[in-house]
Amino acid sequence: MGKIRNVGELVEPSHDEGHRQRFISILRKKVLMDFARDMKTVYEQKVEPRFEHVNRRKPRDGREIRRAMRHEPIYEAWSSLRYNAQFMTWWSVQPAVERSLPTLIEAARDAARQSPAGGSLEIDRNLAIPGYVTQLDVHQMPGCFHSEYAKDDVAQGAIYHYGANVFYGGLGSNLKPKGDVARSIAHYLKARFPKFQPKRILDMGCTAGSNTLPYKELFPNAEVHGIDVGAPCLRFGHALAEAQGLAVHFHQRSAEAPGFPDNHFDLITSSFFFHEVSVPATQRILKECYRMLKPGGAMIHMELPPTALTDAYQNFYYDWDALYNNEPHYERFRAMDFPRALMAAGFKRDKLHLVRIPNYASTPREEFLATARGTNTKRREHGVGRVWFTFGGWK
Amino acid sequence: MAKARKKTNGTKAKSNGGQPVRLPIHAKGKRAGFYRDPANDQIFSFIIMLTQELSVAMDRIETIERLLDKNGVVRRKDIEAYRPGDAEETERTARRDAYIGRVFQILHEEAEKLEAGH
Repeated sequence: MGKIRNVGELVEPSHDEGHRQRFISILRKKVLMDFARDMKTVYEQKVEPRFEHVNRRKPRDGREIRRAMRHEPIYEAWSSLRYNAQFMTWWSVQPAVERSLPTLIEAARDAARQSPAGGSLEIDRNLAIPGYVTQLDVHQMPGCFHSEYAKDDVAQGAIYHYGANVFYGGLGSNLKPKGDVARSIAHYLKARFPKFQPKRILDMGCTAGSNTLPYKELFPNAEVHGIDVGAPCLRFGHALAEAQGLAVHFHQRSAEAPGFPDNHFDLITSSFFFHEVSVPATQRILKECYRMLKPGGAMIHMELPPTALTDAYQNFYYDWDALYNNEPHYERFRAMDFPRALMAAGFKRDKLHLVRIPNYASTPREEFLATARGTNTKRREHGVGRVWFTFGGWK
Repeated sequence: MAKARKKTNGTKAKSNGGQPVRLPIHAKGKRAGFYRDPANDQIFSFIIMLTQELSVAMDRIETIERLLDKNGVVRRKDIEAYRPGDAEETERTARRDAYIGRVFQILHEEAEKLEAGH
């Protein structure tokens, strides 16, 4: 059995490409932290008082704030910076991925042939890719998760994987969602429900597996499965897992019709997934989750917090992505009545899970454990890297 | 981005016959605009791209300077192979951060004045 080359380390940018990537990481940090703070100041000190003066009340929701902000120079410039930085993230990794593609494909083929860690890869050439993936390139990533440009292509998986490093690269070690969502959920389960030992785990919309692999690390005896509609992401994710010695089973299947038997999984999870599918599809997927869950099993999905849990300014800020990052379902998803949607899928009211889980990597251990066990009364704010909103239920 | 790349928008696997694959550069979906005049959106994109290219040029100059300090000569392959260590990367990051802050200083100005009570 030959050694599998690690697809996560095979792409080498040139001197200038590497520095182009690091510029984008820092630009994004400036936009999301420094300039975002300036924009909020302009809102609080100028735009909101002006709105109140005219309307004799504060804005009711994010949409009203957006209407009040949209022709403010800082909003126009901030949006332009953020929008361009999004494209530039993907562009900054494309040339090196193009050059390395034959090597990446070969490494992924070796992984698929040998699966030395014991995982597997199942590609369904006849799978109908849902419209919410094919109609728009989600996250403005040209080619989205599913497009293929060569035989056994892994390019889009590589772009997503290496692009994420650029995307989060300037935000400091506390703000790296890559794998952190899964680690936080797994550690939450261990702390809160020490007797819960999942034997079979499913991650839906797993893309290149960054939030699938930690489940195998943290529950090594579990059989871990990941599904996604994008073959290039799955091939890349499988190759990455095998190179890391993690047995994970990747399947090209839609979460709307995943095809696993009834009462099959102890844990069904996802991260940053539901806001990318339509709301009717969300309902179908939640029903499928309930069907596939074993009695006593848990469904825990991580998502952006619902509109009802965040204030009007945060909603204005979050919903920017729905309008400008090719995530059109995001706003309607966040506006959903979560308990109602979960109960419509079959979950009982007293078995619902609506929990803010602190980010494991950046939260002091004591505080993480106290929060997980429900003994911590201090509340941390929502936001990438500090606390994850999770929803689901126990069957 | 400096080099021209052919736009492809295929979704099915194609036989690329040994030719290097060119990934698409345009995302599917409507292009957003934030200014009343779309020409301003274009100009903003040009400015950000130029800001990036200048940052890359500054990094290249810094690499050359460091190689000259160390070796007294500089060869192209040494530039390509050059990888900053952690301490140097931290310095370069601080420089990029300050540089972006200077280029887009006006963005900060309004907030600063408002906070100072005009």
